[in-house]
Amino acid sequence: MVPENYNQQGNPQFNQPPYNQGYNQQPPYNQQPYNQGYPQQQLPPDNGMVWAILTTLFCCLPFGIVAIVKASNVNSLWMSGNYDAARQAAKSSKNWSIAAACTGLGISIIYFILIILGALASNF
Amino acid sequence: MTKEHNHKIVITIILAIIVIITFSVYLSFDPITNGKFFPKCPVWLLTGYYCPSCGSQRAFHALLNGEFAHAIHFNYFLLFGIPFFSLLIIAILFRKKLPKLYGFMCGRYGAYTYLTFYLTWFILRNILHL
Repeated sequence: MVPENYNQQGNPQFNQPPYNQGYNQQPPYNQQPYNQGYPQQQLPPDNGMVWAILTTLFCCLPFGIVAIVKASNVNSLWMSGNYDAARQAAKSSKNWSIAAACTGLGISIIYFILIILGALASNF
Repeated sequence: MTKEHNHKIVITIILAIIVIITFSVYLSFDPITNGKFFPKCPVWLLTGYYCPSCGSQRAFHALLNGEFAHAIHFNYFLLFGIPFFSLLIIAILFRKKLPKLYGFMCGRYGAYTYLTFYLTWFILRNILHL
């Protein structure tokens, strides 16, 4: 004799009616998803353009150019309603800027180390 | 005094300190004579070609010491780059009031304008040895 809440295989099952009974209004999380609501339109997308231009100018050329191109897409994607794609583009632009900065910094540091090593070697 | 407010104050103070230190260093030390302490341009190190920002540190030093003509001579691209960048900052700060400027600077047209000037100058600079 299977108890009321268990189906034939013995797995527990919750009857649907008891859950919906007693709730006269929908729980808050059943409303329209937040990212389709009005407030989201007022949040401006992150602006990776500044960092993209700075890192292209002062650090590393190829990665910086990619960052600029991706940052340029953020605004048009946002205006056309593609919020997720816009955020994605902003995030990837920022990542490329970071990559550019690290590459430029890394090359400078390696060069600096080589100079120090060269100076040390010439002293022997 | 919320946590974000304190956060912003700390970041602003740190940025201000960095700016002050940067200005003082470039004011007192000449990248030409103290070349080994100043960071070098990665593109120049790897390829030997001048990128559009090569010479910007020397230009900054000359500018801080009042030698305007030398400053321009070290890096001509900054004559375009600094106004462009200022316009970009203005567009971001006044985004609500000047939406068209923001749309231009931070959109495809601004990016392609910048890239066109940048790449053209990259090539020109190395051909003309400026």
